[in-house]
Amino acid sequence: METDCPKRPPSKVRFPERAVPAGPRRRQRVTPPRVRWADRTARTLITLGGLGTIAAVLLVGLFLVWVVWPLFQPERLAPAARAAIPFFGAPLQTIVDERSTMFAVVFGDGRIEAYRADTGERVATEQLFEGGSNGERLSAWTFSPRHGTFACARDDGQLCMGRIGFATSFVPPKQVPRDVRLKLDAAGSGASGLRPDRVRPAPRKPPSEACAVFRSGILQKTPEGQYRLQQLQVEQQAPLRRKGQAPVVLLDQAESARGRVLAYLTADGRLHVARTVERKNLLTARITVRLREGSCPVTLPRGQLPEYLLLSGLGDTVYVVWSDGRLQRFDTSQPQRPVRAGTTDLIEEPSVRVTTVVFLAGRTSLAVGDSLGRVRIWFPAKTGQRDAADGAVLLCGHQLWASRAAVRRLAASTRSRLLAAAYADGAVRIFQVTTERELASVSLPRSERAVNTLMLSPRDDHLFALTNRELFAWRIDAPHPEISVRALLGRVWYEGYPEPEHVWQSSSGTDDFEPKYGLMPLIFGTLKATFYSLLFGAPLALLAAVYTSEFLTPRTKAIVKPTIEMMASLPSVVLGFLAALVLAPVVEEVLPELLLAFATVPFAYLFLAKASQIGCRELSAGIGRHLQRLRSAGALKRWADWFIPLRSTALRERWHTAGMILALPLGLSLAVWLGPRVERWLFAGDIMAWLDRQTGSGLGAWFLLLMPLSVLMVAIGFHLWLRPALRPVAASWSRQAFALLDLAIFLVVCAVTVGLASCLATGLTALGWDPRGTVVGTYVQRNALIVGFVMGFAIIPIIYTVAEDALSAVPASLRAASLAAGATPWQTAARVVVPTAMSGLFSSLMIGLGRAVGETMIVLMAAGNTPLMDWNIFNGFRTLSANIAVELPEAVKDSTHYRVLFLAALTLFALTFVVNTVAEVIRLRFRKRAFQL
Amino acid sequence: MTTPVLANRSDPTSSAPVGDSPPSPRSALRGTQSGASLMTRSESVVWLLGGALVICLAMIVGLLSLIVWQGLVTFWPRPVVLIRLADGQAVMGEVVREETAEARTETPPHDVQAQPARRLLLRVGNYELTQEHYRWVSDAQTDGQPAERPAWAVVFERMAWGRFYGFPKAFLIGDDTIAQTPAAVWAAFQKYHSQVRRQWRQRRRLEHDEAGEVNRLMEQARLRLKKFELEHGKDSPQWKAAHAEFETIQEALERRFARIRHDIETIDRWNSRYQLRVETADGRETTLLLKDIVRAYPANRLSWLDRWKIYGARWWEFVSAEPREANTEGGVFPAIWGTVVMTLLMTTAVVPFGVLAALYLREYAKPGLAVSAVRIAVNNLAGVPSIVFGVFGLGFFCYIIGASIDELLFAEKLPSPTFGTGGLLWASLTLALLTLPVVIVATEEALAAVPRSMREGSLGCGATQWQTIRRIVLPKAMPGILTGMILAMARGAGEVAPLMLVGAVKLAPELPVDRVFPYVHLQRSFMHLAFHIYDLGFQSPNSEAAKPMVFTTTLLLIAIIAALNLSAIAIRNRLQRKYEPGHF
Repeated sequence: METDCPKRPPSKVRFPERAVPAGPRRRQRVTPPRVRWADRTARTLITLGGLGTIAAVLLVGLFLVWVVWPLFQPERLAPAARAAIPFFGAPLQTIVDERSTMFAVVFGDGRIEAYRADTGERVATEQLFEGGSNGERLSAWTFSPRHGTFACARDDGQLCMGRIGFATSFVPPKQVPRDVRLKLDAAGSGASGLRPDRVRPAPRKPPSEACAVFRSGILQKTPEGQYRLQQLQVEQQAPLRRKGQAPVVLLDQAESARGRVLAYLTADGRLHVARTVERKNLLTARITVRLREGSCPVTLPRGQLPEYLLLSGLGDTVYVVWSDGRLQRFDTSQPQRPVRAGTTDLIEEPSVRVTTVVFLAGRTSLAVGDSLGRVRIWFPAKTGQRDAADGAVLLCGHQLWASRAAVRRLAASTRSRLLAAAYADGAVRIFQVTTERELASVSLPRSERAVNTLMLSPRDDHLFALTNRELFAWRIDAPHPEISVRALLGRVWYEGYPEPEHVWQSSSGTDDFEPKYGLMPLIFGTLKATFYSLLFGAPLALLAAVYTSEFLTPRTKAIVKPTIEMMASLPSVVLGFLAALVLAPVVEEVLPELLLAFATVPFAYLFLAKASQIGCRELSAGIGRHLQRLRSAGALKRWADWFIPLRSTALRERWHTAGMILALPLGLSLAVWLGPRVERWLFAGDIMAWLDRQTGSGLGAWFLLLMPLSVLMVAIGFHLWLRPALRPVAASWSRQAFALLDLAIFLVVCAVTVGLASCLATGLTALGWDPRGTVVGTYVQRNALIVGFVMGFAIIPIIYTVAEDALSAVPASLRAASLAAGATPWQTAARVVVPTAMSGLFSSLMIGLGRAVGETMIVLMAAGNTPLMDWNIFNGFRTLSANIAVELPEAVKDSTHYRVLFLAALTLFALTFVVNTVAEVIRLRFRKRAFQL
Repeated sequence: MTTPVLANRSDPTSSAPVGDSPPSPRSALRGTQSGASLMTRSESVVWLLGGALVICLAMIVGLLSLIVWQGLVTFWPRPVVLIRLADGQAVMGEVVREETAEARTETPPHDVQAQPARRLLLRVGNYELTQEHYRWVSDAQTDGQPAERPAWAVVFERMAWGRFYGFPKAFLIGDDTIAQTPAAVWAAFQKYHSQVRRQWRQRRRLEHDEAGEVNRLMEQARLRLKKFELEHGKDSPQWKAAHAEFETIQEALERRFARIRHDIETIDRWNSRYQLRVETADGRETTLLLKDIVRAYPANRLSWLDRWKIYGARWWEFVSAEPREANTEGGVFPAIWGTVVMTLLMTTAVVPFGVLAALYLREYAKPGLAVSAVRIAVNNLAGVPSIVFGVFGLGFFCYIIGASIDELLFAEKLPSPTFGTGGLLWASLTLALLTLPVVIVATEEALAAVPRSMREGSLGCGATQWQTIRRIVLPKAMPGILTGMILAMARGAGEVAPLMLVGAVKLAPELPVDRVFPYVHLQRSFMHLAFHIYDLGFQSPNSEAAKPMVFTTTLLLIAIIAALNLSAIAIRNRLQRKYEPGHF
């Protein structure tokens, strides 16, 4: 505060708080140390506390940014290990364990070996077909990492199934050899087997532990101090009996709801589909597996067998792919009878070859790599056109084209939409498929370009590549790969959708579900709610504010204004509950009447206003005189004074007030009376069925939409042409006669408005257009109309208060000058007061908008909460705020979902902050100007 | 009042643009103005403005009267009617609603006739027999007889299964039938009911307080053992000693628990002897245990005084008892208590900091661009959606601060969180943050209203700045500060959206403040009136039964908030008068 500064003596004086610093009589009295100390302490405390409090409040925004920030961090591939491997060439399959400590390799001769993931050291060896291995080789092989099951075919034609996995067990510390224990303890539980990234440690992940080879497995020390052992585990079932003896060339398997499904192609070009049936012998408890199979021939172009065979996740579709890009699709929803469902060309160019095909997680989308370096994602979608047997078409949803070198290997994540690709030029890239984003890329050294195997670890945290001689491992640093600005705000083509769309769907019952974080439907919902509530609330609040400040007596104003202001502290949950449980059922009953009321209530007001001009003045003067006589005769009691004032002008005021109060029920009852008639005329007698497009034509909808337009056009026309033309008439006619004329004109104008709207509506309907399904459409009980009503009501107090303050701040001198110059109160209000207060009124609207944007409880309870993008006023929606309230309690901390919800909160925060700041700055500027006037 | 006086003067045609055309002889003759004055006054537009105000006020009045009316009539005991249906059935219950128009919605499950002219919604109760609480009865279904009001139709409010409507048949104690006629049964009921209920309350005390204490002690012992295990490791000597101690404690507690169990069983046996045989309107007989009956009254035999008594008793139960039947019956005392405790905690957190910040901004900071920017920012935070504060509270208080506290102090309870989830403390702090701008703005305004001359006078007399603030500025600004505080309380009491994230729950087993050490349990989740409204109205499985409760809860909440607002106004007025002489 500046009050203490100027009187202070120069700084050399030791006690600046001295009471009288300079004067003829220098007092030696000094401020007692206690007081001085108290003052200093208070100053420090208040400064610290004040600044701290303000900082804490501003921290809210910063904290939101801090949580959201990792969403937009660039992804990286950090080198984690490089080691020599003791085998050469491409194995059939590699499988990484859950913790990325080891991987198993399946070779063509049925050997399965486990290697350490960081050093490439061999840990264990197992052999398929034990005892019966007479140099047979595997002719076909398939493995599903999700279930850990494999199926294989030997070149003698036998089919086998089994399971490969990694068993986890905990070893008591006493059984761990001392040297191993010391080594693990020395490494500490923070050290990783894979080389840790020195630049940036993996955020918020339990550090993987140093490991050692122990009992043909990998031993690790957990952060809790236990010793955890990972071991390779292979189970094999007895060979299956199958029909026919032709050797199996290609094989795939899937887990359907009714058991495992196998699909295999034999060398004679037949596709076989088999469901496995397990039988348990009750006596011996032995399980026998039988195949229930069916087959169908595959059309072989030029007698060539296909290169790839893939069976979808539910076992209901088989894809057969040739290297020239031909794809045949079979519908195998009944495994006993596979049906050919269609053919697709995956590649248009004749010379380009398909180099690799894999399924993405969920086994629905195919990722096809070709020799041009493209990776295309194909998935079936129902487009509505019935050219395929099952109504679905294979669509190319995404194309990832980052290089001209041929794609060599693809590896799809088993839990997300990550896809890793190795190219012929030694580049390795990872992509997020849905957003078509290349997340990161690395290059292999020149000598080791040919990647034989590419694998993603089950947790998506490591990427492994095997070349002929070496093993490469990278840590994937991509906590939120599916998020980008485009994915959040743009249209995204999700699996199974016929086209790119804005979708918000954060959770689902199934495991293979891909969360869809399109914020657009929520932003749309927020805007829809704000728009409709402002449409209803803003005009009412502004008009009421003008009336309060310009036409009400101070005594009435002193009652009315606090009443409305008190409503601002009405809890919004109350309004939400009333909207959902009281208003929504009622509105559903009286919808036509309600829609009509928007026209009839203003009509009633205008009509009564015009009517009151005719005789009110003379009548009130006459009655006034009469009352005067009664009063002087003592026939009236004291209390009657309020009701029957002395002056005729005051009497007229009372009449007007009574009229204004009466007009509302009048308009409403007019609506109720007209309602059924209009419903029969426009909406075929039942507005619900009509909105659902079951009955009637588009006439009613056009009428609804064109009515406001027609009112606007007629009003403009009236003011531009009719009013100037009326002026000479008005001047020459008597007041009463003109009032009659005015009323007649008003009725004619109303008729013209309705006529214009119905003419236009008839014309547009005759053209065959029907707007149902756009702004009006199927009625849902909790909808935008209800929210518009109730939220409009909720924002009325705040808009009203700020607007009224702005209007009252207009100096009285301006009003007085205008009135003195002969302007009527209306002219003063419309041409002097409102323009002066315009910026204040604008700022009141902005503040109301800010309030509507963030309102939670009303929309949560009354909006139905379906994330749709639909302008239909009779349909529900979901706003950002309601979405947070619904989903945040269930979101896992630090997950993508959690951060996206924080982003939604940040959006709300930023939006309201900006809107409010603009409003506040405008308001302050207006206030300054008003004081200057 | 500017309008009438000035308007009269401005009536002449001077403002009309056609001044040169002479007034018509007729109007000159009658001494009135021409029609142009009508055009300049634009009466119709003014009516529209007034109409907007009338509509706003009508909505407010309508809304408030709806809540007040619905809230007040809920507890009024209504007569019980008996309607005989054409198919020989009889339904008995209270009339909840009457509809005359053909209804498009709410197709009731039992509405067999199409297009009923008039239908009644009856609360029929007897859920365990009929599997329904409410039933629509249309005129077409009845046999044409008017509804009867049987004299001995008795309404039983029960602990479970909702209400029961029936005729008393017999009163049994053990196997002895001591009354057979309705009047005698009713007399016996009145004689024994209070006694049985007293026993029941005793039993509840045993179950809730004593058994609860045993459970708590057991949990404490378990946690102590867990702590030893975490500190010294399992099988360490310290742990073994602790384990031995734990086992002795456990044994003692189990003995104590068995004793309590025995007491409870004794009371149960004694109470179960008192039985009431009742008959429904359909003639089905069933037995009600006296201990399960909260209240009963012969609805059609009540005098006005009786009705008022029941009405008052129900209100008392509402504000003092715990909820029953998934919150649709009983009271809301835990919610009131939670609201009060949370609001008080919030106030103690928000007021000192709000006042500090305002003092700094107004008295210590050098005015300039930075301070006005901060002021605008603080002002705007009042407009930031409350849900955003909830998000912040969950992410920052619960997940970061709370989780750290858990790791430091409550490691033995992990992984179940103590402070790492929503609770009283975090809810209060979140709402404190939400209402901080209100307090800062109000305090700043109050400080700004203290005349500069007073400050300068004080400083001129030699007081230090702190003395000036403490003795002169703060007392003078006190009404404004108090107003801000109460407004903040009113806002905080009605907020739900942030509470949904940081700690309000549907049903809290324990109160946040009770008689158990340490008395204030900051980590507990709590019930809240406004959240109660949301939960009842929106998530209740039986929304028809919940509706009356929602209205009464709403009425209570609005009454509290209105009282807070009005007291803000009253305090401001009183303090203003009190400090008025100080003004010079």
